[in-house]
Amino acid sequence: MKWIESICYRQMDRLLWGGQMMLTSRDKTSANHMAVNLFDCPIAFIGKPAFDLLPRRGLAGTVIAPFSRSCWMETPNGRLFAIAGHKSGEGPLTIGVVLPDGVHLDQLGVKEGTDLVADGMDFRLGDRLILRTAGAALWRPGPLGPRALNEQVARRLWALVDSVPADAPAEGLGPLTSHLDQLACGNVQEVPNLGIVPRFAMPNVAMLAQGLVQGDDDAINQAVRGLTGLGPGLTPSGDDMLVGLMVALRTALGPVDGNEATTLGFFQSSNVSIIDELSRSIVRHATRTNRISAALLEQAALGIGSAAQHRVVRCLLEATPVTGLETAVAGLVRWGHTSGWDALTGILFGTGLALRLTETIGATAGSGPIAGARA
Amino acid sequence: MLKNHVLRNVYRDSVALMRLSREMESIEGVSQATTIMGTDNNKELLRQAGLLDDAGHAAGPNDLIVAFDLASPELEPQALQWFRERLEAREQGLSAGQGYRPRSLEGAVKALPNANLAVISVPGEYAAREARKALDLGLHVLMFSDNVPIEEEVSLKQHAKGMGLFMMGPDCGTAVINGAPLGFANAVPKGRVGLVSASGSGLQQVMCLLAQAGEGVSHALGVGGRDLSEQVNGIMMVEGFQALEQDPDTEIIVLISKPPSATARERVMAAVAKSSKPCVVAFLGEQREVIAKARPRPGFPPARERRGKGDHIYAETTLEDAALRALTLLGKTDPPWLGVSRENAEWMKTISASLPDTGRGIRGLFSGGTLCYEALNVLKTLGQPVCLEEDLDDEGASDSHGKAVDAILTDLGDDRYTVGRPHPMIDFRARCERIVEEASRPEVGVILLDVIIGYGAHPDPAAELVPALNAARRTARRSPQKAGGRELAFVISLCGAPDDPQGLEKQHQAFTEAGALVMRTNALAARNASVISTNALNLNRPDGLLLREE
Repeated sequence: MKWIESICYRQMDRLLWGGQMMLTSRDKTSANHMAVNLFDCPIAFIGKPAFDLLPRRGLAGTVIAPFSRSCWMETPNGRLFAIAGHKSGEGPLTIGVVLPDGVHLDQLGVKEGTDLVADGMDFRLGDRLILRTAGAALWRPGPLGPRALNEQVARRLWALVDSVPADAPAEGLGPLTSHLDQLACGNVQEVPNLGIVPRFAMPNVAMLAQGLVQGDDDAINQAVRGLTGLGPGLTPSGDDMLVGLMVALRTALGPVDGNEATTLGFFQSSNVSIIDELSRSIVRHATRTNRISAALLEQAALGIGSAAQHRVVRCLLEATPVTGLETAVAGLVRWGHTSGWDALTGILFGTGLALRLTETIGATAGSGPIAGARA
Repeated sequence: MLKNHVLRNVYRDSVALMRLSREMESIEGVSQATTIMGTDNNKELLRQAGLLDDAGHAAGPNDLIVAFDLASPELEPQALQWFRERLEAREQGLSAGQGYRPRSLEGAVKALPNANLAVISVPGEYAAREARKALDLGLHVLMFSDNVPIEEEVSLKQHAKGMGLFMMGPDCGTAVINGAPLGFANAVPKGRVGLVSASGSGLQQVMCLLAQAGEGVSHALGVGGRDLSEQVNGIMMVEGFQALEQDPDTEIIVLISKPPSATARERVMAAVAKSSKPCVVAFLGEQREVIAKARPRPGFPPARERRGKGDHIYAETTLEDAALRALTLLGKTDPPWLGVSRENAEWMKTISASLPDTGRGIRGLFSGGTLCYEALNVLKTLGQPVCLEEDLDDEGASDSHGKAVDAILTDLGDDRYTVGRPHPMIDFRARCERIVEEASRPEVGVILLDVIIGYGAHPDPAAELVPALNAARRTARRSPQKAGGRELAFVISLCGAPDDPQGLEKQHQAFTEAGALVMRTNALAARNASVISTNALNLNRPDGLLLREE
């Protein structure tokens, strides 16, 4: 039996005495100790669609895209979900983890190819990160509360539209919000000094509006094709806009929590049918963008976006929203360089279209409550 | 000159990509630069901007296109290198510049190729996996973690044994190997006594008593509290014993445990019987005659005296006796911790006389599980009605058999008291609260505490506990008993080595100045608590208490 000559030390930061113990032992043989810290982090929330992808035991996924405080994982079946610091907010495919402040995933050895393994109760990401499920909340967007009157929605919408363009980055689709009233009516106009991405997107946005209002499947398809995978960022601007659009349309045209009488005719089968066609088109064209963005588009097609997106939609649509609209918008646009703004553009566009769709399908461009409120 | 560079299946966040694009354009000779995912729509955008070449055209939606317009072809390698370096720097993030910190056990072993021990302190459900990995890397293991299934423990220990490695633990908190203290350990000198223990605080107590008597340890091996259970069957105690048997620096071997299972006892004693060295076996709470082949205790034989078969085995029932036996075998008699000074005996007599008849109960609040168990046995041996707090009935005055008790002991290091809190050897809050709480009970007259110092323990236990003792005393004096309140006796067993970082003498003095009776052995502290409680002390005939004449 060979006696111990030197020591390699393994301990866990969570235990207060661990650090102390290590230091005192170091006093004896200072050169011969090395710490490998294992982090034990509670999961704050899991998006319901992500939860449905997770096995109770075994390999849950492998990292395909590591970032500093988040990573995207691929399940053995090729589905995607994300692990992120919980402060990034709830999302359909997000497992929100309470990461220690200042700790980056790469410091914990999380890199491309790192496995997430379930042990029946908790998860282990690589060698050094344990994700505890105890106390984790299952997140999904709740039903919409009693809805505001159309006129009220329109007033909020246009007030917001007027305040957006100055702040939106020129590289994304935010600058299009200045022209939403025209675009929602299918009109395209020449706008000087517009960036290449919004310029490229503009005819497709107008075509999409026209297709939805007129029930034109081909126009919808062509427009979605032109927007999918368009623009800068991990989630291209066109994708983010489509996500915001779908969240707004599905929420506005979906069932309302509480008194159905307050829906003011939004929930119409013909509208639902055309939105379903839009969803199918988005799913069909999702292969035209990268896998991460495609995964988010597929969720959006079902009407599920991030919590930040849903908050903005609620502020626009509910009679007595819980959050202030400004706060909700600020919470959304801080994401990514253009992503938040692009999603906001989609939400505004979708809300405007929802207002139009409450009118008779096939209404004349430029008429209806949006135009009226604007005037 | 237009150039596209394509990175396959690369995902970067939007802000990083935007920043890289802008920074690239600041390089001299780069007039335009963009980084964008290679979707069809984006390729069309690049084409319209005149920034798409054949390489970019072949990119897919999951690829990242880096497109730039260069003043000359010679700039291409430089621009590409710049981009790669910046991308890599962002990937490494804040970990850069912090010095090397291994991310895995394998990484740590590469960094410390001579390391041959891994200390594992991760949550129990993951500890076995880490331990197996360490064993497979040829490392001995000290596993601090608890809550490891016993089947895993058996499997790991058998695996370790097969590889000629030690598997110390699970739930092994103490070891001293080649002079290196691990976990909760003490600054003991190198010496001639080798120890193997299934009890952390028991191991510390014996090491410290040896050190206070000027004797050191060769190696002190913890094996985890379940090693002598029926399932584990003493695998590592036997392995540790045999290692010490072969160790030339070890002259005497001491084995420490709570009562083992019958099969484990038999297995361990079978190994001990073959030893060429004197062996002290301290299975606390067991009768000497129960320990197979253990010789009765006729007195302290001289060191190295060899007799017939089994005569080298010495069975002891307390930690104090085990240390005393080892010292005696080495020719050291009269250790400084043995007995009670006349001054202390007088104090005990005085305070005992001041306790009211209805307020003489003992409350023991321990941080060391084995010390609590030893005190329980000592009090039982003295005929004191005693039980553990967990065995109290609902009314809190009788044990589970309905027998009235006046001594109640609590192991505050037990899992039920440490949920969400550090161990009471480090964090005294729970114990301080309990001390004051117990003082408010009119039936309590003696509070018995253990204080363990050394590496890993609280840096200054007296600073934490003395205010609690003072508060408890004030509480007792305010109590309505006989209108004048009542006295409280504090008896402390102080476990530490002279060279411990907290300062053994300094701690002793602080507790003494606070009016506590400080003993260096846990068994003696329990005996003295009983003497105070029962007023059994007769200074002319001290009934088993060895009176030290200074």
